[in-house]
Amino acid sequence: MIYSENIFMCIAIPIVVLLMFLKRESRRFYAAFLVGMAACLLAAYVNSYFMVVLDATRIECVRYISPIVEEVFKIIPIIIIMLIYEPDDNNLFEYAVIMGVGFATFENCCYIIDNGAESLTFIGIRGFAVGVMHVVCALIDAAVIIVMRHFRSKMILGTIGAFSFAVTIHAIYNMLVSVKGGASMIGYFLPSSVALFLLVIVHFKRKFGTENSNNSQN
Amino acid sequence: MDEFTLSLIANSIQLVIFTGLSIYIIYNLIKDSRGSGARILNESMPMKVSLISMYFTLGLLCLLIGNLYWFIIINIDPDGGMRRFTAVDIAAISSFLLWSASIQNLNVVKGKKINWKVIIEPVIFGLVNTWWWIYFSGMWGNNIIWCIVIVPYSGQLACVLHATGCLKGLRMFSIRASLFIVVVAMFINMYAYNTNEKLYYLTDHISFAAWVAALVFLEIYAFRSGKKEAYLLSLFAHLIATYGEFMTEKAEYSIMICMVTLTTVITGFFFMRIRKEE
Repeated sequence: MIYSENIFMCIAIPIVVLLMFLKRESRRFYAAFLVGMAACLLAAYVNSYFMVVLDATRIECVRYISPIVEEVFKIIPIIIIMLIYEPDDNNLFEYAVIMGVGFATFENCCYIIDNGAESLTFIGIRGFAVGVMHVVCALIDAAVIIVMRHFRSKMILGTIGAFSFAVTIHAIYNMLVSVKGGASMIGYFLPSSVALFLLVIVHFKRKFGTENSNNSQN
Repeated sequence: MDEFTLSLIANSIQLVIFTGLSIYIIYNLIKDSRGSGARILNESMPMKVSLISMYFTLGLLCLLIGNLYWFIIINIDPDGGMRRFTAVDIAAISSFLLWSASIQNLNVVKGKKINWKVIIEPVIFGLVNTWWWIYFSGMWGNNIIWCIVIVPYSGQLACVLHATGCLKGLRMFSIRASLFIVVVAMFINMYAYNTNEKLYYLTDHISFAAWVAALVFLEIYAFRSGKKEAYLLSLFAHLIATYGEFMTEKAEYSIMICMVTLTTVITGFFFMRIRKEE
C-alpha cells in the first residue's frame, strides 16, 4: 500500500509555489499539469471504491474498471476548461496534452514507489508506454472536442464518441499489458503506434488539403 | 464447433470488415473533406466537413476499436467473470448514438415533424425488449442504457425508411408481424415464468426464433430494396444482434454472434455496392 495523497502533496507543493511567480500563460500550463495529477489521484480513489463495491480482483480492476474511471477523470477537466475559460483551439489542445502528461507522471511516480525502480529497461518501457498512452488518450479527447465544439449543440455526441474511443484504447492497452509474453510487448508499442497513426492522418490531411486548394486556385 | 472457436472466427471476420471499411472511409475523408464513405449520407451539407460524415466516421471507429477490444478479451480472458459493463459496451453504445445522430441530420427527415404512427411500433418493441431483458437478467443499468440507444435509433430509422419508401407492402408486414410475435411472446413468457413451465419454454423459443427471423427479414429486404438508405437497416440489424450477443449465452449466444457477423458482412457488401455506383 502506498500513500498516494502524500506523494501528491510532495510533488504539488513546489508547483503551487512556482505558480505564484509565473506569468498568466505559463501559470495556466503548470496548473493544467497539476490538474492532471489531481485527476489521477481522484481516479485512484474511485478505482479502489469500485474494486470493493464490485468485488473485483486487482487484475479485473486494471482490465475492466480503471480504463473507464481514468478516462472519465481525464475528460472532465478538458470539458470544464473549454466551457469556463473558452480557450482557443491551440491552447485547449496544449492544456489537454499537459494534463495527460501530469496524469501519466503521477501514475508513474506511484508505480515506481510501489514496485521499485531497479530495472532501468522496464521503467523506460513503462515511461514510453504509459506516458504516451495517457497523452494519446487526452489528445484524442481534445482533438474530437475541438472539431465538434464548432457544431455547438452537437458537441455532446462528439464528446461521447471521443470518450468511448479513448476508453477503448486505454482498455486495450491495459488488457494487453496485464498478461505476460508477446501480448504485453504489443501493448507497450500500442500507444506509440496510435500516436504515429494520428500523425500520419494529420500529414495526409495537410497534403490533400494543399492539393485541393492548389486545384481550386487553378 | 465450440463456442470459443465460433466466437473467435466471427470476431475475426467482423474485425477484418470493419478495418477495411474504416480505412476506406478515413481515406476518403482526408482526401475530400466533403466526402468520406458516408458520402451516401451526405446530401449537400453546407459545411466544409459534413456533420453527418463526422458522426458516421467517429461511430464506425468506435465500433472498430470496440470490436478489437472484444477480440482481445476472448483471446486473453475467455472465462472472465467481470463483464458487467465494459469498454465494449461503451464503444458500441456511443457508435450507435453517433449513427443515430447522423440519421437525424439526413435531409429526408431533418426539420420534419415526428410521425408518431411510424415510430410507435419500434418504440414499443424497444421498451418491451428492455423490460424482458431486465426481468430475466436483473441488470438494470446496463439494459436501460441500451434502451436509451435502441429506442431513438429504431424510431429515427423507421422515419427514414418511411420517408424514402424502402419498406412497403408485404415486406413491411412481415417485419411488423415478426416484431409483434416477439412482443406478445415476451409478455406471455414473463407471465409464464413463475406459473407455467411448459408455456415459459415454448414462448422463450418462439420469441427468440421470431427475433432472429425479424433480423433475417431486415437484412434480406435491406439488400434487395436497392435503395441507398437501406444500408441503415443493416446497421440497425447489427445493433440488435450486438445487443443480443452481449446479453445471451450458450446456444443463443452462438446464433447471435452468427447474426452479428452476417450483418457485418452485409454492411460491407452495401458499401462495396455504393462504391461501384459512385
